[in-house]
Amino acid sequence: MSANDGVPDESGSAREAVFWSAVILVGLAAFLYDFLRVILSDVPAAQPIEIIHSFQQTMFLIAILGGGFTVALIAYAIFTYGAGRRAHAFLPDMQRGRFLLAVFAIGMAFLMVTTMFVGASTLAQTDEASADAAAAQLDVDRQLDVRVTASQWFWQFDVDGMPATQGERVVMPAGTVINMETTSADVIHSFAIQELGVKKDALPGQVNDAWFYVETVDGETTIEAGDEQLSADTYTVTCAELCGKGHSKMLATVYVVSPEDYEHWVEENDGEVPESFHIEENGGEHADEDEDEH
Amino acid sequence: MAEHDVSAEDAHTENDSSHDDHGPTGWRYWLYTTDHKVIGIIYLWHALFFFALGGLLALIFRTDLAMGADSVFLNPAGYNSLISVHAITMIFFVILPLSGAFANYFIPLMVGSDEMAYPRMNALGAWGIGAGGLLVWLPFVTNALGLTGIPTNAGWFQYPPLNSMLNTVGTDLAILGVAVFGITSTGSAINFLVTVLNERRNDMGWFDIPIFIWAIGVFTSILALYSLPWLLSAWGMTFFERNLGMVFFTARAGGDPLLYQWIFWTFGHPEVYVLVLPGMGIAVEVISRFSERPIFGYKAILGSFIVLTVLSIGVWAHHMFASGIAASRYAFMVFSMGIAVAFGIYLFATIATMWRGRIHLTTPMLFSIGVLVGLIYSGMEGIMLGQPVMDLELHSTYFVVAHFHFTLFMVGVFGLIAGIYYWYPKMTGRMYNSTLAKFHAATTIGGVPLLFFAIGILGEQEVPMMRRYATYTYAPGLQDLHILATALAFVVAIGQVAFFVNLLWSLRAGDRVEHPWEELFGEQGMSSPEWDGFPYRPPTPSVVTAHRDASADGGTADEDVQTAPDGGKREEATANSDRSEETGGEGQ
Repeated sequence: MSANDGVPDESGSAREAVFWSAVILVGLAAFLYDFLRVILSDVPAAQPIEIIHSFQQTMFLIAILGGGFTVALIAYAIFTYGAGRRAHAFLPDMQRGRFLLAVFAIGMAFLMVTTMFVGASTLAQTDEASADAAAAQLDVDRQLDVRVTASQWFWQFDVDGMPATQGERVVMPAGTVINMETTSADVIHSFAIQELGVKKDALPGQVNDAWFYVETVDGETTIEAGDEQLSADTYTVTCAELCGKGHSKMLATVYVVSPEDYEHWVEENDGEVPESFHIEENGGEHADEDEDEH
Repeated sequence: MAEHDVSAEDAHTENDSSHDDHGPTGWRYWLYTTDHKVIGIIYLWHALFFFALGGLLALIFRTDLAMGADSVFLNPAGYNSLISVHAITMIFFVILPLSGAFANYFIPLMVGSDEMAYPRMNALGAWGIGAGGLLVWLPFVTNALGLTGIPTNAGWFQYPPLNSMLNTVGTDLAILGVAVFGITSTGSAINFLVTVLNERRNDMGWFDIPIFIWAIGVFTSILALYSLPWLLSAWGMTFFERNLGMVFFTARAGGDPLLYQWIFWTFGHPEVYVLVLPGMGIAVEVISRFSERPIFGYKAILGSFIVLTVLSIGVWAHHMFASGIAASRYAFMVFSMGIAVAFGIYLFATIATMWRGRIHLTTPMLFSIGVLVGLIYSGMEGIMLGQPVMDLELHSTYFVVAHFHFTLFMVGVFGLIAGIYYWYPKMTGRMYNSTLAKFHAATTIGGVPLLFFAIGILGEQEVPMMRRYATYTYAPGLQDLHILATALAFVVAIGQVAFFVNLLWSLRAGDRVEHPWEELFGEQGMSSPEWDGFPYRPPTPSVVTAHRDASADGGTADEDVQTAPDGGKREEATANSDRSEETGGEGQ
């Protein structure tokens, strides 16, 4: 047996080249499928998810083009240069190579700086500190303050104007900027409503702000208010920071109803609609007057 | 132990003629050794041992997830234990020791030193891996015996106050285990750095240092030296808080839970580059030699490593975008985006190295190509997560899980697997079995992207799978995807079984080789110091061009290159390279 007996000659097989480029391409297909799904997915008519999603679509498209092209290049290189058809490798032309590298680096830096600016301005739009700014930007007058307290392993919602704390089920109005203050009673939790693009850590000893705004109600389900059925949409609240053994069951459901229905629901539950919640721009300042209509 | 004996024998007979005269034998040989090669082998077996254990944990919890939306056979606390120990094991006791194996074995060989700078500290580092890992894993045994609670289940972040509230021995032992690892690894990092900087051959200039040594001996070591003290501080403080009643992070006693995150992630992000840089360095060496092409842009790759090292220190808070850190997010977003440019340059240079080459699809080459592909996938997901806005949507979902597995598995581990195959003949004197290796490559390079894109898709649902969720009763519809991911995880696992069988079986049954790629590398003028000794010039375009010109002209005396019967193409290549010489080659 010669010294190098165990070394297979892998340079000459076109079949192998096809196989390994196919292996890379299968992964590429998964990548494209994954990222295209995000671009083509729908989001509810709500903020900040719509802002996030349009930014996300742009970025995922750039990733598909840039990343997909690069992986395809690698697969092509395996397919072409791995088939053993060539007698030898070409040496690089470094003058041209350096030029291409410089062009690539500058182009990539330019692209990244652009995404920095777009990312920064998008961040300013969704910034949790600016629920008021968000309301102004969305041209919405109604605001509702909600205090969210996380504990092992449940959520408590103290909605402005409601006498009772709400837990697993909480009702909130559409057409209203929901202004949330999140905090925790024990360990770190994170308040997340994925569908609406809301995620904010709930830290003990600290209050973090977040906001969201749902435009319309489609009526997936109904909730009861006295003898009436109010149409509502549901959104799942999850905990997004490991908080112990009950972490994955630390759930709540937000029922979003139309502003009129919300007012009705509050009244049925012995609450009082707060000042910040104007039911009609041209109507009375006090929601009490509108309640008489029901 | 049988394998150890075999490799002991091999290390003796093949690699280690200078140390086997009077030394102890049997287990004492392993325990008392300060030989860098033997220590490298000790690192390697430790890492592979924990790799098998960590992988086993992943299969267990993946199976549980696939079987149903609610807990099936794991209770949630146990599930949290498994994911915590899986992460701690893979990060601290698999990827880092694997890098340590190559650093120990090859830094002296590749910088022309006869030993590491501090051999005893080196031995300490090797045994620190085993000691630390066993401390983390001990509670599995003691819990089974009914003596203690379960292993740590606070996640590998160990965020207080959760970590302080879980009064299990498991958490203390995990902290101690990682502390043992962290202290000994700090020593190892100093050792690697000093060996490269101070024990290098006199005739090896800065730009003669192999890229792999730059990556593992210099930049990885610098980052480890920078980051490990932060880890020891953060975990040390939680340890004292848990056990001595000191208050650092408990809000109701005046501490600040967010303080821990600032300290921990200052370690946490450089740590990622500690894990991936060795693999990226190996990929450059392997891709260049098996493409028969010089390294395209030695200095460009070096520059990208420098930028990665510097920027990686300044991006940590992108792990905390959801924690209410307000305006500093803008700065961390900018740095996080900037890091993409450095990765881009690395990718450009490595793909340009393959381009128009003559690619030999050997197993190390395939895994190195996997590194590049993994870097693209992880980078494309990374630029999304570096944007605070998208973090509101993606943070803490399985999208993140997919992202860091691409980084750590497909870049870090793939690169190190490439290194194992590439240097297996060097370390054991035997060739691995090519068929098994190809099977391993196909299942792993094919399976890993599918597995982690399945996981990514789980994280992109309208109501996505959240990270570290033992159950998903809020969205039972995710079960199909979980079944798919688990099936793919088993495919990948079968590939790793082939890997282990190959490594062990080839120790005895593999063909004896000295340097399987001697002809190939010699013909190209791409010798490598660990095989061929010194003097060494990295395979930059000018070096390789000069070699080819010399052999085309009929000859340097020291190389017996067969002139290929392809005169026309050779001329074309030479003409091509002449132009590059005029402009001055790399590294001259």
